[in-house]
Amino acid sequence: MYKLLIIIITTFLSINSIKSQDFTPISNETTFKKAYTEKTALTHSLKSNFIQEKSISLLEKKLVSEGLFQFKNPDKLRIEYFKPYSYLFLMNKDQITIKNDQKQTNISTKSNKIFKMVSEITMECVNGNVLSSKEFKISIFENNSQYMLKLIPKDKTLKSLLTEIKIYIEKIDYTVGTLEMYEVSGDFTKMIFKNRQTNIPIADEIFVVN
Amino acid sequence: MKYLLLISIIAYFTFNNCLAQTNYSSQCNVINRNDSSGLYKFYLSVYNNNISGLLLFKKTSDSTIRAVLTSEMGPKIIDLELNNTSYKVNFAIKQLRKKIILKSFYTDFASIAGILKFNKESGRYFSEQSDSSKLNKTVLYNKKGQELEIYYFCNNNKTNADSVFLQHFNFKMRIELRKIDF
Repeated sequence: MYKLLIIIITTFLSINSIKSQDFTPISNETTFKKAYTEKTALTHSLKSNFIQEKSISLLEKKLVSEGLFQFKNPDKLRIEYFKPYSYLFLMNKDQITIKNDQKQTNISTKSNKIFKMVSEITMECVNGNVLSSKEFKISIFENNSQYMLKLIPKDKTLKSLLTEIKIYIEKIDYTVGTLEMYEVSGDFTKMIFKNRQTNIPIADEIFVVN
Repeated sequence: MKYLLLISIIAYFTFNNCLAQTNYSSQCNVINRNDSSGLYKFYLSVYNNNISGLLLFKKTSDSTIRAVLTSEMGPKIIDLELNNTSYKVNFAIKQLRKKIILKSFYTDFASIAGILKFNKESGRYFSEQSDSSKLNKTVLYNKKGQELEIYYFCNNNKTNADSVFLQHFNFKMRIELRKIDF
């Protein structure tokens, strides 16, 4: 019985130790920054399916939605949700268009601070400029297969919405595999990017709503 | 004497009718009775400004309902705890932290969750009209007249409404909800 208890305690401690060792502070930050900046500078376009999981403390189930993410350097972004609802977010230079079924809203990032920040963060994650962002305090971690950027907002408006953002970058190709946004309440949203394709032809027309 | 009796009968029925309209108990609302929750795609149009998101209702006790509005891309916009006479703000983005806006959301969300009640003295009351088994219309009146009109489209009265439309009359605001199964 005594031996069994020791085994259980040892196993429990080992599991916790493995968990805490999962991501450790990066050993060579300069090398990573150089490689990431170089790699993202070569990314002219990005197309990826995504699954979004929204965890709300109020619900046992996660709210899961699916869509397609498309980016064209330097300032074109299309995020389209297909399931279980349709929603289209388009950014073309400083103009944002949102389409919900038949309803369309046009917003200028010059006049809307929140949308300006959201679009800047998304763009910077893809084009690599996130590492030099002045809006966040950034810490970098790594494990065997991924780098993890932990972004703590400095800006008051963003701070009132999010406590931190975690960006998981695949070591194999330096693309963003997962993005997590944590809210003040503890609720969080996770975006998992799948079937990522870089530098494929994407027409300019898809960033414009007729 | 005959007239007095007639007036008494009319007064009796009018009074009883008003009492019946004081408390609101729509057969079909945004709360699914099976799991005490409801999830909707939310569209709001106010003076040509549009807001959209996902609106979640969850019954947390016999008299309390949480209404959480999040953006489609994740972060929360508003989180209210509603009961039949008041509300508590758990979270609201800065742009919505105004008493008039929060009060309006409270009236709207508590009405369609079927928990809003008024004192007789307030002069506000609900009147329900069913045009068909699938369409229910509820009007909220105040001392000045119509304040809010709500339409529920319900295919099955045992679950929550498929869609809900709210039209305000005090100011130019319209809300549209469409049920999401998740």
